[in-house]
Amino acid sequence: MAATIDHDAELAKAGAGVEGKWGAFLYFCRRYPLGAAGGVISLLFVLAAIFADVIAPHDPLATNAAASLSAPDQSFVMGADMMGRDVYSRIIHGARISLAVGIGSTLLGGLLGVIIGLMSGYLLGWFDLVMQRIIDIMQALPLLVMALVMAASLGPSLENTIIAISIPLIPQVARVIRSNTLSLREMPFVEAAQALGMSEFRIAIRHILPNTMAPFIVLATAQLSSAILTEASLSFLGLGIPEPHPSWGRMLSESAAEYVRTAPWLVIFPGIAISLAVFGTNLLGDAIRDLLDPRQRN
Amino acid sequence: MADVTEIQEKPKTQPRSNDAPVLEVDGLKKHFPIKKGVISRTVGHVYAVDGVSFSINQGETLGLVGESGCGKSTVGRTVLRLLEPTAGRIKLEGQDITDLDKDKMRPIRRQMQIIFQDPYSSLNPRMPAGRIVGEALEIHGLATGKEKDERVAAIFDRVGLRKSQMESFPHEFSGGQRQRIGIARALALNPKVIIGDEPVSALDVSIQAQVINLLMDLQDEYRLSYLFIAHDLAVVEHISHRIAVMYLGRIVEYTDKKTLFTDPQHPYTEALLSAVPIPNPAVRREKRVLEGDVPSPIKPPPGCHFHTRCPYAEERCRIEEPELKEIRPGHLVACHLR
Amino acid sequence: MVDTVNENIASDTGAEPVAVPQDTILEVDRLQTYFYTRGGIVKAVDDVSFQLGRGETLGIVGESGCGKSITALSILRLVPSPPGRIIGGEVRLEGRNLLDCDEDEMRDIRGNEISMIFQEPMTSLNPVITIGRQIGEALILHQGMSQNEAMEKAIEMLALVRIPEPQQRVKEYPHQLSGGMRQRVMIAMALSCNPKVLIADEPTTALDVTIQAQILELIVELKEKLGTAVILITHDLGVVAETTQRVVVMYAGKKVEEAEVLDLFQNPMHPYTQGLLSSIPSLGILSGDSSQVEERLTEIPGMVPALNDLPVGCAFAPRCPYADDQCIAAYPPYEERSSGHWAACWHSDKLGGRTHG
Repeated sequence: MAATIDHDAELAKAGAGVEGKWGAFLYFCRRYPLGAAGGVISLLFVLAAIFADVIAPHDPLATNAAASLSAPDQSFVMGADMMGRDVYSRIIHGARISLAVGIGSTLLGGLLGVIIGLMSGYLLGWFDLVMQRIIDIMQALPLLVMALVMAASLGPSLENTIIAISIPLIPQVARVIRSNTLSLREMPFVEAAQALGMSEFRIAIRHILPNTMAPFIVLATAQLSSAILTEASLSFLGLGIPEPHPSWGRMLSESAAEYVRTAPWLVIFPGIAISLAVFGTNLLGDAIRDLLDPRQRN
Repeated sequence: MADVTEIQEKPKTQPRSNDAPVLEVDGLKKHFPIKKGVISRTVGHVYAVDGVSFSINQGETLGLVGESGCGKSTVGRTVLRLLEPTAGRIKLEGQDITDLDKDKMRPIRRQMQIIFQDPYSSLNPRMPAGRIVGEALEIHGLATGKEKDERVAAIFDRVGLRKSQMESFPHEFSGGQRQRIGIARALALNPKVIIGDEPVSALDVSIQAQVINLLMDLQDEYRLSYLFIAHDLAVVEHISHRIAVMYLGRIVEYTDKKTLFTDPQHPYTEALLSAVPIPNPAVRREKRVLEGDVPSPIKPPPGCHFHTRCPYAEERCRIEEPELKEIRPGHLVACHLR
Repeated sequence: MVDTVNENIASDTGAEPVAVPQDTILEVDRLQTYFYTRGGIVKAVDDVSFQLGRGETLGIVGESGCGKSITALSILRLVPSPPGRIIGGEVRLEGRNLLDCDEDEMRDIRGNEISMIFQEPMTSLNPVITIGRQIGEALILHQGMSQNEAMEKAIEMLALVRIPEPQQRVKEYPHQLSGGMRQRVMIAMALSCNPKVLIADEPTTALDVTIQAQILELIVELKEKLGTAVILITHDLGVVAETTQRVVVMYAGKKVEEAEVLDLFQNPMHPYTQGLLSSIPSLGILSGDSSQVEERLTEIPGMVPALNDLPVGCAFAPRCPYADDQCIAAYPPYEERSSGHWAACWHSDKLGGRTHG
């Protein structure tokens, strides 16, 4: 039982000696290798989106009849589509769209959800009652169908896609924030703030809101991948990002039926891009959830 | 108002009983409705506080003791108007504050502060200690910017924290230090009354003494009045001038410290005193162990609330509610048998 | 090759158990339990030894983080791992080292030969199982009783811990009982298999004084009736004074003092014990000593050191009024200062009698 124990090895496993931000980062990588991999993948996409103009060898919109449907070769690493547009460049620029939709819809839906959840949980009363029923109704609707209806009625555009995707997020965020607010408002430090004569608004913003951010971040990271996937689905159905912008979903839908046999690169590469982006953000989200879960801390 | 020479001549820990009380509570009741169903129908009440009266003079500590569920914490919160009283009056320095609205209440809050039991949940974990204390000054417009920082630093110094700790977050402090931050927050507004809701119960034995001494020193220095809510009779004995014993929402005995401990008149007080373990193995007392549990405050027993556990209960106790009456000057007991 | 190994094992298990005086039932010997955390090695229990006599009540006193609860968990091998590891020492129950037992053997010991009751009667019971079944579970498992026999015995146990209407109560769920009643159920559960040792970890801390008095009375009474040896872990010196016969004082993971209860309270040999005794407000009027009632309490300055960053010398030295260079340089030896009174302090001889206030 009490055999020789390597103190240093045990300590290293527990993450002792971690110092500073860099040390904490390295510890995160060792403790959650999958999360770190997800982080790397996500970072690659973010870099691709930011530096798309620099990285992409071709103009993603420039057509070239001569290169129509050319297989992957030296000038077109991932081949070209029917109109001779470079698939590689389009995927890189497509990262912009995916990221814009992912982050945009998460922020929009998150913001509205936080406001509703905070007000519901703090004010209670009729506001809470009404909001909870609205949220119940929103959650009863199937997510994708709802986004479809939204996109169809608003018309295809980047903004509308973001709005359509953000809406199903609102009830989810509102729920989480509300339940957190409900337990936080009973905390003695909130009572102390009331006893000091602080206004309700100030208590909500300064004392409750910052303490709901951990669960919100967990939810938001998890939402990122599903937003990317929903955008791809919407675009695949022709309701997302309109032509000629390079959306991964649209790239798939344009080529899936006609060219899957003759020019499979038109399907394979956007497909891989979507899967990788979703996979990466999912892994990262899981790791962040574990990290912020108080039960995981020592 | 106050006679300065008199203050200086009097021994520090003695209350000046001839003063008008700083805090007066009269017939305070707090009933929580129990709601059920979709339309929130009220199906009953928790009679948490059921007619409690007391007063506290300047520089005096009133100990409020009782077991869990007796309503002592609810009294504290209702007096502070963190909970709305169901009935009764609360007067602070003669001014009735029972019905003041939020805006009118705000300046009053400077006079009355609270210290909580749990030093962990009573501080916002995402706010540095200095800001937790300084916020009070800010919202009452007492100080801003550099002046605020200086005043916070002075308060930190007074409660035994270092100025350099103002930037630290609550989790970087030990339990005792956190309680000091809580005390600093309460002190920042220079209040007249501080309500301590079990302020030392969550602390380790060796830290308790530090905090009790700090509270007593602060009382001497600022002539603070304390409503000291606790279940630990030994702590209450040490810090209080007068003590009120609560059982199921009512005060059953109310007198000065010495009388309560040497000549308890209510059977519940007697049992409570006998139940406290004394840290001296040489002292062997005959224990009077109470049978049974405290009944639920949702359905308090009729008559005297204590009759279900009282060894002396008579027929009358089961029917008629005893009044809190003065059996001797300054000694109030709610018992038919006294 | 294989044969020799087998022979070795055989001779190992067949070895004579360590000779134990007849009246000792449990021996904890140089126990070390460390936690490996991000902050470094936390020496939660460091070199702790004590003996528990048959039918004796031993108190382990200390503040939060002193290692008293981890000591109890180590005895039952219930230390959460990771991060915790028992890295040294022995725990001998009637001469048998529990740290050498495998998990199966341990399961047979827990709840059967050594049981434990915890501080929180709310969370220590399973809310969806009737209390009768929860008491019966251990009986079916350890004593091989049938369902019906176990139920009979459960009723008997509830009656023993003086729960009214035991026939009715066995069918009830934990939420139908008050806190005091739940703690009685916990005691009934712990004693159902007639264990040799009962470890009570702050059994009354979550309870009100009047209920605490009931529970303590019950524990003492049952101990006498059943002859169980009890380890009572608490921070409350009043509880220790009234309930135990011998006391171990722990500070920062180490045992600093051990003595008969009267001896410890009247003649503390460690400055920490002395400080604790004089810093608690203690119902002076009732115990006939009202001198300290009006005065300031004696403080122990400073705070408990972090267990992952203990000094080389005495851990109490930074808070100790007697500390000098020697205390800072080296940890004091743990020695018998007077008959049956042990302390780890360089200056025990200077601490004559109880200094109060």
